[in-house]
Amino acid sequence: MSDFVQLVWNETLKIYLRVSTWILLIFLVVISPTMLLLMHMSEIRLGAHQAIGQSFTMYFLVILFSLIIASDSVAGEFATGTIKLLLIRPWKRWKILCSKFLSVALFTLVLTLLFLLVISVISYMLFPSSSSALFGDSEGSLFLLLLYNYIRALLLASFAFMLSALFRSTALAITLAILLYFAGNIITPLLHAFLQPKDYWIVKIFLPTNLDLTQYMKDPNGLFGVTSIGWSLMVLAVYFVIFMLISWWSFTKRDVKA
Amino acid sequence: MDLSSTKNTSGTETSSSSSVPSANVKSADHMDSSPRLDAILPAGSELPVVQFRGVTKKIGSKTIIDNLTLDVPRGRVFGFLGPNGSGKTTTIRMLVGLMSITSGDILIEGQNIRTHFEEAIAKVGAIVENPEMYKYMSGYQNLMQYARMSPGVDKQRISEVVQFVGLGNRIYDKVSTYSLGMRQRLGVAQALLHRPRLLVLDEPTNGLDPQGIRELRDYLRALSREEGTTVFVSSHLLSEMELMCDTVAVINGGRLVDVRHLDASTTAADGAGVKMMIRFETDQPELAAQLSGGGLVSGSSWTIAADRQEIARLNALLVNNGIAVYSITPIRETLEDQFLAMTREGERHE
Repeated sequence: MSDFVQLVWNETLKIYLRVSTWILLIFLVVISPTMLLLMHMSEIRLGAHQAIGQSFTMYFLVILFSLIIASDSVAGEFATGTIKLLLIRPWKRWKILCSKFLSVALFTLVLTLLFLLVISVISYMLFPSSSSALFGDSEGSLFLLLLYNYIRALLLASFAFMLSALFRSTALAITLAILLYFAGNIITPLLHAFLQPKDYWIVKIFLPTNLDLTQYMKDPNGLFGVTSIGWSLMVLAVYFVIFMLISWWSFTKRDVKA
Repeated sequence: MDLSSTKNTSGTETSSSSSVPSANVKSADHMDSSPRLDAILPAGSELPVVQFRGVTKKIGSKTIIDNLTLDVPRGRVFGFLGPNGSGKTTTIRMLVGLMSITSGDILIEGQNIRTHFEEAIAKVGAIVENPEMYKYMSGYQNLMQYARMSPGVDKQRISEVVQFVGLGNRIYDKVSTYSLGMRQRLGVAQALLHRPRLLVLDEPTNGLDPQGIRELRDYLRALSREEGTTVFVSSHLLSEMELMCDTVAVINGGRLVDVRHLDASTTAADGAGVKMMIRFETDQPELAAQLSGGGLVSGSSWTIAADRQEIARLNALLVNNGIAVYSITPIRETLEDQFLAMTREGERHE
């Protein structure tokens, strides 16, 4: 058997050889710094590090774009019919599925690093005043910020990936994934405003309220005061396993029909 | 396959190894990638390339394939014939592991596709329905995708295959610029990359122009003759099958109706003393029928049963009586007629 790395390389090529992917990347580079430009224009006094931290508001772009790629990963092959030639190779289906998810995870990582690069460069250009903490305390928190956001993106990508394998339709998977992502974003502050403390158990196992790990950077008990970072990580892990199991079942057990 | 050429380690027979230079290397390649069962088995014994054993497919309560048992012999172009909806594509999808098998087994070179998928499928190259490729990649990039997934396929092999299907420099163009015929050729290239023992093609002539069909037929013939590849090809186009295949299995309503060797049936019909229907196209068909005392008249043609000698005699008779004979055509009972008869019978039983 040839190398599993070759499978991941194949899937990666399928992502990067497409023009649409490069349009997404260019979009990311152009739009991510808009927040910084606005802050610069309104003459807010910031250090470069604070500016980078603020810019993470724009991280939703990374999430959006990885949702798009994840939704297409399995469904796209069904739509074009290429799945038939892919699955008749001497590789078990679950290995092919793994290679697909890994390529999505790597793409999300590339988007995240590109995002960081762009906002860092622009931040230091527009807010050069901060000689203060280039390294030190804030470096650690920057790393955490990045990690927490990446985990969030990865989990949402695994959700879109599951929809992709389940429905075998790119359009349906993208629409549902983005819809549920925004719904989740809206519902968290609503729950925070209206939910009675006796019903906080919902918050503990609800995916959207556990997704944003940056809440623990402000308060170790989370937004609602009933969770902890360990708890949220565990909930996310359970969701991740469920998403992967459904993807696995859908991809390996079902027939490939005409 | 030449057994003596594969192992020659004794050292005393140096002359024999140098006498067969390039062929040696090629067959050794085959041995590396997948041990060939026909090399292991005693000479003369022929393991069927594919064995269907009581294969049944049910979707819900509907039986799509009903207890199909069939052996596909080695080195043939084997046709799998049936009207639309007879279960051809379902059978092929089960054969290549795209669909699950409800009960029964499919063995490829003795390996069970259900329990030993990776080993079994490694011996198969296939195009299932249309050869759909990644359109945003070049033909070469597409082939590289599949090359990375099979052991022992190097750049040398890719250029060999590209040369075989005659894609030339167009292989470096994006697939989106290809015509259907070129995509079909790329499909064949993709299927041949890993030197499969079995080539499976599902409705390969769909949408191809006569030129493309002709090319495909030539490839298949060349493959089975020169490389000993067994070809399993499905179609509902009977005339195509007659030209392409050595053996044809007919399927209807999910059941195997008949298996027959094509060359045998046509030579029997040509033999002396065998009567067949002959159509004479003349200016006076009624008179011709009167003179010979029989036959059917329709339009300007007159049809009668005759053997070779009688055809000559009848022709002389007509000409001597001043009837102009424009053409004499034997109406061979084609596979199409036989096929239609068989499938009609099948329908009546349901």
